Amino acid sequence: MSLRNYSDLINLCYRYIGYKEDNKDINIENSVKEALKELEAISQFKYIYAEYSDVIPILNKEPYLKFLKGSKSYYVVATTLGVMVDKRVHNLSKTNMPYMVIFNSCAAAYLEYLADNYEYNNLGEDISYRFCPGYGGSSVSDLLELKKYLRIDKIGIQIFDSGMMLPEKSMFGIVAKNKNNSKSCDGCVMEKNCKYRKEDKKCYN
Amino acid sequence: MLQLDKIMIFDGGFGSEIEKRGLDTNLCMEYNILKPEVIKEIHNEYRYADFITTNTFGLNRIKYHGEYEIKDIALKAIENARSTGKKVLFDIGPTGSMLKPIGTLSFDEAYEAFKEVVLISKDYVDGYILETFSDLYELKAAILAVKENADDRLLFATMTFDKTERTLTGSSPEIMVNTLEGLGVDALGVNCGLGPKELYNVITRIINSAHVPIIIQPNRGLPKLKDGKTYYDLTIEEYDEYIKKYVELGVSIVGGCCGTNPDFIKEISKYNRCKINKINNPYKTMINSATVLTEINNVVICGERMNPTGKKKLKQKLIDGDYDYLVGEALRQVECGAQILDLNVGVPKLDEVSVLKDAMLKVQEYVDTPLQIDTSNKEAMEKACRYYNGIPLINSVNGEQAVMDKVFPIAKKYGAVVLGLALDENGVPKTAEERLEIAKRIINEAAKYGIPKERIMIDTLVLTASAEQALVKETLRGLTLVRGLGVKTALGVSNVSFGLPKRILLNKTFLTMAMYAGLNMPIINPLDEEMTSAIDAYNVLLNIDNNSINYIDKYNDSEEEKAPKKALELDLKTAVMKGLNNECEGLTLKELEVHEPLYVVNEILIQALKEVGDAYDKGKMYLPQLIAAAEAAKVAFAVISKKFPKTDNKKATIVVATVKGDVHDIGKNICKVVLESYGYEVIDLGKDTPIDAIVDAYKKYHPLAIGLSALMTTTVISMEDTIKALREINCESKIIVGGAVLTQDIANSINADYYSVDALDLARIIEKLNDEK
Repeated sequence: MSLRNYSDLINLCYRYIGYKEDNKDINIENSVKEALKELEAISQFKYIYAEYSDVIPILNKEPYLKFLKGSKSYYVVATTLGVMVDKRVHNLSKTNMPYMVIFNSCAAAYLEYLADNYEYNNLGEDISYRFCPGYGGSSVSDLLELKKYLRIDKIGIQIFDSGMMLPEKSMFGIVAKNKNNSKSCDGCVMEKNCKYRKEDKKCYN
Repeated sequence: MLQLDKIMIFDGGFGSEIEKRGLDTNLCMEYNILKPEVIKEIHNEYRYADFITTNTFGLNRIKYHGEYEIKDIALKAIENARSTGKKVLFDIGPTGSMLKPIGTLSFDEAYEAFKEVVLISKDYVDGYILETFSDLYELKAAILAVKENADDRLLFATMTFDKTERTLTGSSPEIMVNTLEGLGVDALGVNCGLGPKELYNVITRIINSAHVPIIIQPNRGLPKLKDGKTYYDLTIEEYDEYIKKYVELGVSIVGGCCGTNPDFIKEISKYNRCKINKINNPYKTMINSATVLTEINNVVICGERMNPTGKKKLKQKLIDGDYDYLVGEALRQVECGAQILDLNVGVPKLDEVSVLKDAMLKVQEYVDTPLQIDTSNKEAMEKACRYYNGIPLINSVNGEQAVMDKVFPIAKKYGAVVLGLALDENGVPKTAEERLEIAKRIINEAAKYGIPKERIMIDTLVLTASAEQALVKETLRGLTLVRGLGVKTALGVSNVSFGLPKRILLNKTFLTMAMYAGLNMPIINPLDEEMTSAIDAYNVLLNIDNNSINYIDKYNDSEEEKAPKKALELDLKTAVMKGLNNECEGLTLKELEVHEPLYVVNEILIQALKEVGDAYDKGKMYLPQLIAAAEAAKVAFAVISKKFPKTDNKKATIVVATVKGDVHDIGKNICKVVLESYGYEVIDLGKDTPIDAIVDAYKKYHPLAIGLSALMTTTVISMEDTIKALREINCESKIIVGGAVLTQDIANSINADYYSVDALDLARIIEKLNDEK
């Protein structure tokens, strides 16, 4: 895990938009900067975590066990940009849809950026990436059990029976301690249909 | 109003006391029944407090799903609290579910959940504390539940703020104060979220705006993590240091939240012996939404365009239930400087009660500017005020007793500011003095309902110069006289010029005269630059726009000073491909001068969209550009159909929806825009759409196709159920599915007819179906 800088953030925004710098569009680049400025102003970034050394029952199965293998302990983590970002996306869908697409992608990237840096500064460098239910063939509905182990309501996150979270720009999962493992595409629901893989690329760093 | 003669003390953290005793905090409420002796012990350890709050924070049917009945827990919790012999307040916390439109919980559902616990508890408690709310709308539901079912009980309400000094849904401390005071709480303030140091700005902002007692219950600092456990490290002395400061500044009820314990409360209970430092904030005339507060002072523009009088298109849109049009009007007015928006849906034979509410909710969903609810229908007024998120302005009341009897109870209940027309059952008085007398009558009658004059505005009535020329100056004199009563004023300015030529000249001259005579809120068309520029000039000349900053910023780049621009060499096809909305109207009209409308549609617009689509497929253009092109094409289509209504035959109807259980709708919304640009009528059922609604839409519209969207593997199940229901009624429309987790295999397995990868793919499928039909 390493600290992310602003250009990492910009690159992540471009990746989520599907923008390629070899097919330059100055309007998109300016819109990304504008979106990030807005996000900085309206986001209410929150992060909450709890540390566990024993495997929680819901994590006592694959792929979580594979993810946690070799770690002495792990964190259950949740993070959000807050409902004002959702509201802004909702508003933009009426007022400026082209910009909304950019703003929405930037919001997803911004959350990743803030969460990565928070983890680096507070959980340490020697940690894994975030593994959230829904990744690697795991079920999104595992979130419903996982929420018993972290008071995500304290940071304003609500989980529905379907596993859907509000605010939409939220993440909830686990981070392994004393471990450096890499993300992979294995088990991803998009594996067969992924536009990144079609171009021999990945959606993550 | 609650009158306190000394500082009152609240209790402290409860969850931490449960945890300290080695118990499971997930069973906090069950312990009222399972371990009453422990609960009583905790309550009694808080004996230094004046108020004990029941252990019922999450006890409502939306949040609580444990094995006990809510009633049993509530009554036991009260009994446990009563063991202290202190005043007992029933603790009501939020439902934990987000309210619509961002979430799925309705205002009424939240209200009913709160009402249930109020009805259970009201005969056994001294009052209610509504705490840790972060959504002003949800808190309004809770306040109404108490006020309507236990009005004789004390009511305290506190919200949680974060480091941005706003609640999670964007309300500032001043907005909270204006709303909660309007709704009639006995005390208000802040609890949880942050420690006393971090809450300094929020608390001082509340102190600088409140008129009722202020209650604070900070956390014991910011939480820290050690060996996997959360702890707070602020000492009692440090905590007390801040509480002391806040007491000196004017806070009158103090307690603690997360991390605090009985020792903290014991320490701060010494302030019980202190007198309250009275706060004397001036009263202001203010209305607000959840996120915007508008003070009516100097000159504030109220936009009049959401009023169907004389507007054929708006009338039709209201009849059709097309509130998106209203949203567009609202946004345009705000962009041109409107700080308040008038909303009127008075169309003959329209159900004003439900239309006003629905239209208002739609506008509030997208527009943060506070609203003026404009109706004389009592039921419509009441309903709109009830569901309004914030404090509205009501237009209007007048000096007729029956009207005041109708309007003031509504205004009082919902905290609304009321616009009073200076007329009565005898009509419009001729003189300014007579209008002044009616204004006084309105203000005095309002006072009987406990509505202060700061919540009254007066309209001294504009008569048309063409018919009542001598009375125009009476309106102006009336403004000056009425301002002497200490109230703000409003006028529907453009009435003055009705029936005369060059209306704008009369309107703006009259506007300027009226502002100088004391007009605060002109109700005008903000898109009319002549009128808004008159206001800008007035603000400079009366030294309101200090150093003319706004004026210079707005007008420095004026047409006289700029070098003339060269006209862009642009054709319609290029404008569409580049997404240049603003150019499309003029360019379309230009094309229609030389080409038939169908030629423009098929050979220019559709071709442009095809080329954009191809470029997008090849990765040479991006999604935002695709959408921009689609929107530009829509502008062009609208021009053609306006000029040649017969060409406005939509190719076919498509129904789209995000399925039940899913609120992700960005993809669906993009699909809608693209399909509309291709000339289809799209019926958008929204998100979290019940199966029945989709089935009903099929029966009503018999669309060419039904597009279903879901973003999650779990909600694909809902998609499958929806398709089953449609198949059961022999749905003849083609069913197309899409969404991030969908694949062709999944689409096949759930019996969809088609799977679309994205909006463009969907458009191509629909075009193919349309050609085949």
